[in-house]
Parts: sequence; structure tokens; C-alpha cells
Amino acid sequence: MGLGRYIGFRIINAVVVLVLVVFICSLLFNTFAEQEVKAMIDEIIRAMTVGNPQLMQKLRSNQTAYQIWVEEQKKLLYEEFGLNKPYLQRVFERAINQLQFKFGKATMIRSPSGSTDVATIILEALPRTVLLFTTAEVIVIIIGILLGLKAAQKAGSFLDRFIQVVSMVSASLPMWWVGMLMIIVFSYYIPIFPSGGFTSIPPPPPGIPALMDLLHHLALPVITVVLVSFGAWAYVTRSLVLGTLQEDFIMVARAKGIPERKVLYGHTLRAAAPPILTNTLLSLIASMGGAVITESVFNWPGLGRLYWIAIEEFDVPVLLGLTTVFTMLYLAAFVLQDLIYGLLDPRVRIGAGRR
Amino acid sequence: MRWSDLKADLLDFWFQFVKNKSGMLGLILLIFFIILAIAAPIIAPEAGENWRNLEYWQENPKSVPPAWINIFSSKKLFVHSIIYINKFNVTSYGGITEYVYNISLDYNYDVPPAGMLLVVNAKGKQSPITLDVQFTRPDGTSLRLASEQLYPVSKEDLLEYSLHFGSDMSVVSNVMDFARKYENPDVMSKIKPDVFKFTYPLFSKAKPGLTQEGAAEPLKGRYIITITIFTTEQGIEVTGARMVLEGQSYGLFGTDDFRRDLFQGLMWGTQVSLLVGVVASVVSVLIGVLYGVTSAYLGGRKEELMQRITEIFYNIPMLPLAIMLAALLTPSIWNVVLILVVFGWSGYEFVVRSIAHQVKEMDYIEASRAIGARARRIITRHIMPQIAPYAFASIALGVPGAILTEAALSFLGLADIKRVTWGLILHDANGAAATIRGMWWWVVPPGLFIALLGLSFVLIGTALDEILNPKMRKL
Amino acid sequence: MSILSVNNLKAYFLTIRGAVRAVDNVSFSLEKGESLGLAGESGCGKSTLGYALINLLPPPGKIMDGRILIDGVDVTKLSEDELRKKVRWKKISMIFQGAMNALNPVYTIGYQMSEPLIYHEGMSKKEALEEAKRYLELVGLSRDVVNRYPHELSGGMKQRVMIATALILKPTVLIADEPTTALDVIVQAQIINLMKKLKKELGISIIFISHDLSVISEIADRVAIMYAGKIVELGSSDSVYLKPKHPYTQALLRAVPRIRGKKEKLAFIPGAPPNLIEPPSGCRFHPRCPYAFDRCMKEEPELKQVESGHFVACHLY
Repeated sequence: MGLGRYIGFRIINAVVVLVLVVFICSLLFNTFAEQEVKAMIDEIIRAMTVGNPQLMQKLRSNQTAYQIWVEEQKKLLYEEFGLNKPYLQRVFERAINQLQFKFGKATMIRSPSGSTDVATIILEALPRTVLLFTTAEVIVIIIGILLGLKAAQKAGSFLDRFIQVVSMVSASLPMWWVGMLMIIVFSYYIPIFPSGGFTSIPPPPPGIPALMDLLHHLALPVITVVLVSFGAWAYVTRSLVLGTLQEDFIMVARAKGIPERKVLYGHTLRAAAPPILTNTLLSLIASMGGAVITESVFNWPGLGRLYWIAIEEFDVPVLLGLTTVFTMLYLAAFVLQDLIYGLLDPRVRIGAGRR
Repeated sequence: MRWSDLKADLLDFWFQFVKNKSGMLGLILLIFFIILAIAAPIIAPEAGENWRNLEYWQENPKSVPPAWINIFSSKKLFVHSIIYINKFNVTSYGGITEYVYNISLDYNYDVPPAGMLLVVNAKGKQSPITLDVQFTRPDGTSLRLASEQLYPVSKEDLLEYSLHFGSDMSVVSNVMDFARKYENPDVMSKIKPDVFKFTYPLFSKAKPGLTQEGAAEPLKGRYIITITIFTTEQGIEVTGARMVLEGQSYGLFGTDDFRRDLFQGLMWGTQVSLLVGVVASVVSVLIGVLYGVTSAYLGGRKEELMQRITEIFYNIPMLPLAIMLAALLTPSIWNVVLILVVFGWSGYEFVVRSIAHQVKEMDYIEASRAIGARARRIITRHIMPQIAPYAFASIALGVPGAILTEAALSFLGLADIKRVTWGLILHDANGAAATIRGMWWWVVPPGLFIALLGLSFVLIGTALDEILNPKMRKL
Repeated sequence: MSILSVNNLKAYFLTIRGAVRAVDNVSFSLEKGESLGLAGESGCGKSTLGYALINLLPPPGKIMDGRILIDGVDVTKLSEDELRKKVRWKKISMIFQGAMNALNPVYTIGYQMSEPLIYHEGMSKKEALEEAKRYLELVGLSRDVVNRYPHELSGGMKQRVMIATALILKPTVLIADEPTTALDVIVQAQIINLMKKLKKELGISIIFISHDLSVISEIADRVAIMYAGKIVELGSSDSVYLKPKHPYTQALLRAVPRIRGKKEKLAFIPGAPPNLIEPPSGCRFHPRCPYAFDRCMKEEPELKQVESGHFVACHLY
């Protein structure tokens, strides 16, 4: 209905941006990505030469004739690999491939299962990032909203001012640095948590032990993300709830004899939810980047660590694929946020029902 | 606006700002960092460009904590010292020139130096010299540490001779001979010369256990190291020397695995963070303001088109594209600023545009137009002053984000190769697993600086917002 | 017995600068099926009186003294819990000034109307919704408004919804606080007519608060004129409007422009409403009263009956 059209618009917007981003990146990186292929072609030609005594003879005796042969081979091979098509067309095709998840092969990196297919590499890392990030954000949301509500109820109290200070300080903290601090404190000085990785070596037996081991490894990264993020949520919740509590309809709700708890959690929170969610989801989306970098501190085998390695090794296909996937996640989060907002705030829906 | 009006407004603003406690705290922090940034080229002029030149840092100790750690621990770590010799006692006889110098060292530490290095400078013809080092301990015992020929490294007619005590086999064997006199034979037999911590027996009491780090008892007192240099060649003159006693601690912030003085790195990094943060924020807000005002003023279809463009920019995720661009272009701070601006301006544009619209709808604008005021006048006289408070607060509040992003890019390895940045220091720390090795001095200060500089702008920005905002409500 | 009886009610706002005596020793009663108009300038305390009756004074407001008897029960003595369960909305409900913001934008009309029924009567959602639809019809709205959201309704429609919601528990007393102020004249007339109809059909007792004397004259059986936290005149609409006794009432009525009659300059009351933290001594109106004399400055006048059912607080009588 109204909601459907609204979401429809947002999705189209997101798709447009995605296509644009992929295209721009393909344009920028085409040359780099093709270098690999060109180097490979040179290798093939060299291998062909070495394996063929006649060609070796030609190479030694008649340079010019050999060169002509090389050029011919290059032309054939370029055509086979599609390198002879006009530049823009190659960029265009690369972009289309990206959107279909055809990322090609990595130059240096291998996935844990040994594959060099970039799509596999990325898709193996993705769920781990999602696991870490989602777990942390759920905890942040719960803690943030509860604290914010409490602070709004007791405006001006110690808790209230504490939250203001915490949110200001955590806005300037690099999340990945806090991760490093966590490791020093809780892995080095007070060794209760592992310093990184996804599982212990050797991995524990499946079932409950494996789950406990996973949680043990998940703990520090999640604590890091939560520590740095909850302040902003609590602060925004507090401000918006305070503002909402002044509204007339809250007084009306009380006049109607509705229990105070329902007034707070039902009417107030529910009415304040749309702006709370917009503000905080936007900052959540912004912190996706930080969380991703934090992974590399903890050697958490997700997208973040993949980024770190891909940059160190300058593995272009992986970088390009990562960009596409990350952009998709990012835009999906935007659309999700719009969807939730539309569900919560009836005023934004377009369509039937308007007077 | 007349100058006198502006001055009065500024003074008034300043008085209000001073009353704001958190704003003042932020300002003080900021001034501290500005001083650091200015001091960098004065105190350590060569450190900045030589950050990646590992040769430059050779004579620093490796991976040691700051010197002030001795205040807090009962075990005193040897503080890195370099003793410069400018004038020798020179005597010549029968074609041989002899240079002598006695280094007097008052040793009050519990943990001896990590290593020793002697560098001799000379001028003239390339030829070897003979070096003799005699080591006299406070308990009266002494040994000949070294007695060998050294060959120079030369640059034109400047010659340099060096002896790394720990890696010189004859030195090590001399020390082992000395230690053998007092040490437990079992322990002696298990010693491997290439990992032998030779300074322990030198600076410990002459009794069993003196070779072992845990068991050796420090021998405190005055040590005399006698350096004697012989040259046989005529065309050569020894101009000076220096003895580097590699400390177990160094300076204000210690050193990293590459022997780099972290304090100097931190100082130079301040420049980058300040520059990138402020410039990126200012330019982003400026563009946002210009774009927003223009778009609000043009109205109609043109405005809609401009809005679409802004929305697209707003929706592009900064991080992956920043990484791509940084990896593609030569990593330099100006490219980082460019990236930050390209992804940053759109956020401000939305708010500016809505403010501009609100002002535009006001009756006094219509009145102005009726009088015949041109667009430019209306914009500068009426719209801009309403936007200014938002703009200033936004600039201040936008800096921490820029600093964090720059640090993140550096941390991932995309820093400017010609400069040090705080993120780069952390990148190296992470790569060297400094966290699991407990090297807190490598990990804590850079991040702390990032946080504090960001915090200073947050405090200033919040204060600006509080002071300037009520006036915005004129709208 | 009167269904509502207010005795010596004092409601102050305790601010840093002092106590604002918004309602200072007010007494009146309301009979079943009667509508009482509460008139006065802005800031005279009439809205505060309304909030005090339902015990929803915004902080720092507090009922300092006095009794409010609804159906014989003194509600000032009840605990918050009892108030919430037994009195609010069940015995006494309120229509607020400016319905614009009185409805929560994220809940449907149906939900907000059903809430009192679910919490007070224990009805199921379905039953409550049915009842809500019935009341919507009662106020002249279509039944499917239950599925609408507040932003989809016009001001007049929202006010009707508020009226329906206020009546849904069949309260004894309905307080209407400036219900027509934010609406245009045509809608105003519609709402007034609606309220008249409901009064006739349901026999509810209404306290109608407004600064607009003409609106009150349409609907009120009796009128109380308030000034500076006190009731200065109280009587049937006819007697107060046609034979105003208190100088303030007279001045108010003179200030209303008339279509018929000689064209005259607009009359107004000189001066400004007094500071309620430190009101004038004696009769609070004396600084602005053209008939003031010595006694007026020293002694506060009491409400005295001057004719049957017509009371005035003025030393002239």
C-alpha cells in the first residue's frame, strides 16, 4: 500500500547508487585488474616459446620474426580474454559482472577452503562479519535504549550526566584502537580472553564446546563494539524521549488512566522510536566501517581482516569485490532503516488514506 | 556588517565561550596539540621525513618502554645513553698515534643495557684502526672487552668505524671468559654465544648466576670504560667517537620494533591529524553551505536535480570507496582530504538547504525583493548570517570524524608515505603484534592522542552549538 | 446531591520565584446533566482548575488545599493508583485544548479510543473496537475512522475523536478545555452543536472552559467568571449575561463587539492581569476597577448571593 510504494522508491534509489558505485570503481580499477591478465598472457607466451624448440630457435636467430609471432599470439589471446574490446565496453562488462557477483580470481589470497575464487573468499568471510556486527548491535540497542529511557526519566541525575559524558567521549574513540586496548588488558595483563581468531587451535569438538569456544572468541570484539557505540544510542534516546514526554498526547494518555509503565514504554517510546531509529541507525551504518576495521585487530576472519590483507597484498580483484559487497550491505542497511521507519511512523507512507 | 559591529559580536561571543567549562577544556586541549605540532620541526627536525628510513633510528634501543617507567617500578631499567667523545688524549710515537679516553659511568640500575655500540669518526685516508676497550668494574675486577682491527665505512674523506659489541664474536668470547671465572660450570656449558645476553655478567656481582637474567644481582657503582684507538697510517686523524649504551627504556614514549622514537612520531603525527581534520571539515562545510544555498535559491527543477545529486553522494558508503581511492591514488594527505570532502559535504547540504528555505519564506525577504535587492545581497545579508552559527558548530563537530577516518585509512596501511601519522604507528603496532606482547607504550599513546584531539573538537563544537544556537531560533 | 462539588480548592504552582496562586480558594458545584461555563481571560486559572479536577497538574503544580467531591468521593484524598483505576476517565474525563497534539501520531484512532475500555472495563480488543466505532458514529464520524492515523484527519475531525474518546467510559463529568479555540468558525459551530446534542442525549455534565464568552453562551446553563484565580461571579447564563453584576463581567461583556446596534469604539479593560505570585491585596480586580473604593483594597470580597442562584464577589453588593 502506502508503505510499499515508499519502500519501492527507496530500493530504486539504493540500486541506482549501487550501480553508480560499482561502475565508478570498475572504471578506476580496470587498468589494475587487467594488469594481472596481461601478465598471465605474457607468461603463456613465454611458456609456449620455451616448450617449443622451433620457437626457441626462432627467438635466437631471427628477432624480428619472433616478435611478429609474439604480436600475433598476443592479439589472439587478448581477443580470447576480451582485452581487445573498446575500453568503456570492458569497464561496462566488468561492472555487470560485479553486480552478478562474478568477481573473478584473486591474485594472492586464498580462502580457508583453498579457493581462489573471489566470490567464494568474500562469501566465506561475510557471515562472520554479520555474526559479530549483529550480535554487538543488538546488545548496543538494548543497553542504549534502556539507559536512555532511565536517564530521561531521571533528567539531571548522575546517570543522565554520565551518559552525556560517555557519549561525547566515545564519539572521538577509534573503535579499532579500543579493540587493541582490550587485547592488552584482557589477553595480556589479565588473560581471560583469547587475543583473536575465530576458534581455538586445535578446534574444539562440535556442539556445546564449539559454541562456548565461539562465544569465548566473540566476547572481546563484541565488548569493543558495544563500549564504543552504546553511548550515542543512550544519548539520542534520552534526548528524544525527554522531548516526547513533553508532548500533549502523553498527558492525555495519563489522563485516560493508562498505567505509567505503558505510558512510558508504549506511548512515549513508540512515538519517539522513528527519530531515535533514524539517528541511531545512521550512526550504526557509519560505524559499520569502524567495526570492519576492528576485525583486523582481532584477527576475526571476516570482511575487515580481508580488507587488511587485500591492501597489504594489493590484491585488486578482492578489493573490487569487497567494495561491491560492502556497498551492497551498506545500502541494504539504508533500505532496512527506511523500511523500519516506515513501519513505525505512519506519517511517511504515501498513498491511499490521505485526506 | 560593519567592522565595529563584528568586533563587538566577537568579543561578546568570546566572553560567553570563556564561561563554558567544557568548551574551555576543549580549547586548552587543542592548544596543547597545536603546540606539539609546531614543536615537531623544532625539536626533531629530521624525524618526520625519516620515519620509514630505518637506518636513521639505528642507535636507539629496540622495543623499549618510556624512561619514566623507572619512577613506578622497583626494578630500575637502564636508560638509554649516548656518550659523546670530542677530545681524546693524543700521543704519537714511532709512527703510531694513540688516542685514549676514559668513560666514567655511574651505574644505579637493576637491569643492564640491552646492548653496546661504539662508533669512531675519522678524517683522511681509508685505513683500518686498532681498537682496545678496557672495562673496569666498581668491585675492582676488570677485563679487556675488545682488542681488534676495525675497517671503515667512508663517504669522501669522512670515515666511520663501528663495533657492535653484542654481535662481535671476540667480544662475546672475552665476556664469556670473564664470566667463566665466577659462574657455575653447568650453567656456563649451556650458554649459546649467539643469544648470550653479554651485558648481564658485565654489570652484575661476581658470583654464580651472573650470566642469567633472573639470577644476576646488579653491581652498582662507578664503571670505567677505557677506549684506546691506535692508528698507524699517517694521513688519518680521529675526530671523535660515541659510545651508545642501549637502554631498556628510552625517552618520553619509548621505541617501537624499528627503534623509532615514538614521541617524535607522535609529534609529527599531530601535524597530519590537525591539518587533515580541520581542512577536510572546513572545506566540506563550505561546499555544503554554498551548494545548499544555491540550490535553495534556484528552486524548481534545478533544485530538484541538485537534490538528487546530493542524495546519491550521501548514500555512497565512505569506507570502501575511500579505501579504493586511497589504494589507487598515491597515498598522500591531500588525497585523504579530497576523499573526506567528497564524501562529507552532502550531509551538511541538507540542513543548510532547509535553513535557507525557511529564511527564504520569511516576509522580510519578500520585502527586500520588493525594494529591488539583488539575489546576492539577499543571500549575504539575510541568509548567510542565519546559516553561520550552524556552519561554525558543524565545522568543529566535523573534525573528529575526519580525524578518525584518516586514522582508519592509515591504520589499514594507506597512509602518506612521506609522513608519520598516528594511524600508521598503530598499523605498525598491530602488524608487530604489540598487543599480545604487552607493549602498551606503542599502543596506548597514539590512540589516546586521536581520542583527545577529537574530544577537544567535540567539546569546542558543543560549546559553540550551545552559545550560537539560541540565536538561530530567531527563525 | 451534586455530582461534582468543589470546596475551597487551592492549586498553586511552586516555582523558584514563589508560589503562583493559579486557583485560590474556589468553590462551586455541578448538577447532573448541567453544563457549567468557566470564563475568563488567559492566565486567570481556568485551565489550571480543569487540570486540578482531573488531578493532572503539570509539575510544579500541586493541590494545596480544598476538596473535590465527585459522586460524593473526595478525590484529593485518593492515592495515585486509586485515582488512575477508579477516577480518571471513568468518573471524569477531559477534552484538551488544541487536539492537534492530543493524539499519538503512531497509533491508530481505534487503538487510542480502545485503550480506556481495555484498561478500565477489561474488554477485549474486538469488543473495545466495536464500542469505539459506535462512539465515532455518535460524534458524526464514519466507522472506518478507527483505522486512520491522526495525521490523516482534519482539526475538526480530531476534536470529534477526542470528544468520542472522552465519552467512551460514560463519565460523570466531562471537562472541555477550550475545545473550539483552534478551529475555524464553521467547525466551531459544528462542535458546539455536537456537544449540545450529546448533552441532551446522554445527559452528561460538562464543564466548558473558554475565554470566548459567545461560545459559552451557546452551551452553558450556568456560568462562572474567573479572575486572577478566583470566581468573581456565578449564576445562570441568562442572569449573568443579561444582568452582569461584577464590574469585571460587565467590562468583559462590553468588550464583545456586536453586529447590531450603534457603532461604537471598542471598549477594553485598562491594565493587565495581575501577577499571581503576589496578587493585589483585597479584591484582586481593584487596580483595574472603575468602581473601586477603600474597602476594595483591604478586604477580599466573598461570593454572596444577590438573587436566586446568582452570586457575586464584590463589595458593591
